Parts: sequence; C-alpha cells; structure tokens
Amino acid sequence: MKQRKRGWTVSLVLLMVMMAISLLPLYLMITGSFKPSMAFFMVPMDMNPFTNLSFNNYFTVFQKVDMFKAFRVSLFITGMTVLITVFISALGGYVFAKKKFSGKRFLFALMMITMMLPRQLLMVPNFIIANSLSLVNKPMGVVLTSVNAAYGIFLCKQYMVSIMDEMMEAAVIDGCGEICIFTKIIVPLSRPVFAALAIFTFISSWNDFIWQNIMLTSKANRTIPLALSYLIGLADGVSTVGPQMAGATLSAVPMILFFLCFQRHFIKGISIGAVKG
Amino acid sequence: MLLPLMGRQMKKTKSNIICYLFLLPWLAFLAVFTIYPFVYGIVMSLFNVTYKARSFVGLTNFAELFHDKMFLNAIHVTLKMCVIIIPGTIVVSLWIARVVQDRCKLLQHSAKLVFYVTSIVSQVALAIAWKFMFNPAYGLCASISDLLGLPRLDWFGKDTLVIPLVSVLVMTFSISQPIVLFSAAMDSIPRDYYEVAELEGATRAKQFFSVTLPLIRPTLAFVAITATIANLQVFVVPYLLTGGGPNYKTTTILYMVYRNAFEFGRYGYASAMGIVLFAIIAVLVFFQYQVTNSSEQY
Repeated sequence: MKQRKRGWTVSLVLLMVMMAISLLPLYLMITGSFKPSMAFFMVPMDMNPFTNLSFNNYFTVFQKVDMFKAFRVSLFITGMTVLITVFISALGGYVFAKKKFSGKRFLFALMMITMMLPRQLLMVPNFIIANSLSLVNKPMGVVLTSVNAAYGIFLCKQYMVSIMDEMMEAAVIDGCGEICIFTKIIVPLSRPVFAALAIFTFISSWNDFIWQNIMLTSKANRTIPLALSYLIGLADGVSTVGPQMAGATLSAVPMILFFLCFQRHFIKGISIGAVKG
Repeated sequence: MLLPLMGRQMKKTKSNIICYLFLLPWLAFLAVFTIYPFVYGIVMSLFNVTYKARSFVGLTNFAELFHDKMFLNAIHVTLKMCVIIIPGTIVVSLWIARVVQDRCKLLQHSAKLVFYVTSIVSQVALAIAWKFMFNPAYGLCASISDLLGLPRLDWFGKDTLVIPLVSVLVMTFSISQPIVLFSAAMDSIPRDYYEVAELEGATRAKQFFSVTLPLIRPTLAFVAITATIANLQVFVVPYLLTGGGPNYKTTTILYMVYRNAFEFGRYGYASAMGIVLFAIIAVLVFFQYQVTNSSEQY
C-alpha cells in the first residue's frame, strides 16, 4: 500500500511538470508581451511577470500591422465558415441519421473517405481551381474553399440518431411537412452538437495558417495568423521579439477566453465524434 | 392491383428527391472543392504545369520523384518524425489519462484543460514563443544552460537535435485530443471489472494492461489512425521554426509540395508529390485498420 502511494506521488509530480511545460510557451508569451525589448537580452531571463512592465510592444504591433483590420478579416472568414459548415452539416446529418434513400450506403462511404482525406493534400489543385474561379485573394474565396462538412455531417449524424422517431411521427400526424420537422424538431434538439461543431470549426478556421497563407497574398486581406507570420518575417533581431509576443498574445487570448467559456461543449463534442471511430 | 404499387414507388421517388435536396449543399461543395480537385490533381501530375507552360509528360514526374534526392530526403524526414510523434502521442496521452483516472474531479478537469489549451492557440503564436525559448543567445534554454554550467546550444541548428525537438514540440499540442478521448473511454469501463481484478490480486499496472487497454481498443485505433493522417502532413511547425533546415533536416513531404508549387511554380511536379503522400497515408492507414480489426476477434 505504501509503495502504491509513493508511485502515485511520483506520477503526480511528473504530471505537474508536464502541465507546467505545456503552459510554459503561453506564460512566456503573455508575460513577455509586457516587457521592453532589453528584457529579452537578459540571461538568466526575466520570468517575473511584474518586473520591467511596458506596453510599448502593443503600440509597435499596431504601428506595424493593422491588427484591427486583421481581426475583422479573420472574424469574417471564421464566421462565414462556421455558418456554412453548420448549415450543411445539419441538413446532411439529418438525412443520414433519419432517412432511407437509394445510394445512402455509397454516399455515407464517400463521406467517411473524404473525412479521412486530408485537405492539405488538395492544396495544389484547389489553388489552381480557386485561381480559375478568381477566388484567390478574396476572404470569401478562403471560406468557400475551406468548408469541409464531412466531419460535421458525421458529428451531426452521430448525435441525431438518438432523437426519438416517435417525436417526428407525432409531428407528421400534426400535419408537419419535411422542412417543418427539420426546423421545429431536429434543429432545436440538436443544439449541443451544433455548438460543438461550431466551436471546432471556429478554432480550426481561426488558426488555419497554410491555406490562408496561400490564398491571401495582399496586405489588405491579412488575417491574424498572417499578420503574426508577417511579424516573424520582419525579424531584425531581438528588438522584434517583444512585438511578436504581443501579437501572439492578441491572437491567443481571445481563443483562450473563448475556450474557457465553452469548455464543456468541447469535451462533449470530442466524445460525440469518436464513438467507435 | 398495380395502382398501390405505383403509389408506393412514387412515394419512394419523392422521398429520395427530398433527401437529395437536403444533401445538395454538401454534394455541391464535395463535387467542386474535393472530388474535382482530387481528379484534377491526378491529371495534373501527368503534366508539366508551370506558370506559363503546360504539356503532357506522362509518368515523367513520378520517375523524376524517385530520383529526386530532396524528395527521398523529405520522405525520410517525415517518417522519422512520425516514428517519434505517433507512438509518443499515444503513450503520453494514455499515461496522462490513466494517471488522472479515478482521481478527484478537479485534477481530472484541470489536466484536460491545461493540455487542451495549447492546441487551441495558433501554431504561429506558439512558434513565436518556441523561437524565443530555444534561441541560442538568450531566452529560456540559454538561461537554463548557464545555470547548469552547460554550453549554450543552437537547438534548431543542430542536425541531430532538430528532428526530435520539432517532434516533441508537435506533440505538445497533438496529445490534447487523445487525452480527452482516452479519458472518456476509460470512464465508460464498468467499475466491477476493476473490482474483480483487484480481488484476484492484480496490481494497478496489471489492471491497466489486461483490463483497460483491451477495452479501449476502438479508441486506441481511432487515435492511431487520426494521428498517422495528421502527422504525415507535418508542415507548419518546421515552416515557421526552421524553414526546413538545417541541411533540409526538417523539410517534410508537405513542405516539399508547398515549395515546389508556391515557390518554384512547378504545379504538376508538386501534384505528383501530393499523390505519393496520399498513397503513403492510404497504405499506412489501411494496415493499421487491418491490424486493429483482426485483433479484435482474438
């Protein structure tokens, strides 16, 4: 018994160390963003969040890149992607969960395959197609080319299967049509899965770097990740570390707050999707 | 006699039409932005496509690929990273899920929260922090080296160090989802199983290997497959941290695709690379699927 207790203590300490390591980049990023450039030269480094406070980094960031604009572009792309993805997934998930139709097995298999098919593999042909549809360098072009509803449909289907058929039958008796069943019964009952899907899509779209980097080349369309990578690219030594940290903090803090508010939906959503993957 | 039958047939057709109307938005996106690009990519790999010219070259692109030292190096680099990241992710996340299993809710919850938060922050933001942490002249690692009296290292500049380091950094955000999945799977195992095992005198380690592990096998398979798909496409972290160096030691396959397409303008050649990467992913996932499926029957 005593040995078991000691093993547990060792595990706990190890776990705490791993948690600390995991949080370290975020800690350094946030505290570093409030330090003047000279503080970054110091060895041993200054890890105390309350010394050498300065807000200069934030002023520099706003001078070098238009962060407000970047926020707006990012919000537009993310918002539209979330809306379209949830809309498509709700419709598709409902049909796969509750309907019988010819070709269902084939389409379901197709959906599973495209869910496994990584988007990045299509980046070259997708770029050429986007180019010929003149979607390049337009925020809406990024939205249209990055909507990937396969995962969303799967998630919605997993959730909607558990909605009782009796409720739908009762609605039919009350004179409810197909669209009425969908909007009056399925949609209100599926809110938790929509929330989970919206959150996942929000995160991946907000943080998407590769595709935005390829699609949006002009300064006017810079999103938050692109603004950050621009800051990295400016690197002229230590003097830019502070502004980079400030930019990174500006991009990360809204996400972290968002996550803390909706964490229950996250955890739930991950489990919905993985039931017998 | 025939009329009710025809009625049923018509009803079936009508319901089919309604179903396809619901699926139409998905099918439209699927056709234009997934299936068409997929086919287009295959066709493009048979052409020499650049900014200006386009000519049919047959399988020349593929022939060139297998003599391209850079590409073979990229395959080597990618597989090396995967060999670290995939088992690492699985082992570490399993271990974390097991340590917090059956412990107080607060610990369970905060562990999930802490490990998950890294994965929701943009990799670009993380790269900024990592660059500072591992800088040879200042920052965290330099301070620690000085403190311990060790020489300062150029972490991202050393051939031998850079692959393990990049892999570990990728792991810090790739363990988040598996932890939640494994925790959920472990929580769903009935308590009686452990009680029986305990009565028979099984240690906690023995319980883990003979009760927990077999019962969470579907989750294990899911995590292994998704981790394989994700990590064969490592790109953003090396792109931002090392630029593919030193000596192309972190130039992964997807990095090569990106460079050939968007830096050199060789779209056809890049498409051929994409197809080879797809084939590697498909083969590995197929084998994993076979292994996990066949062993389920004992």
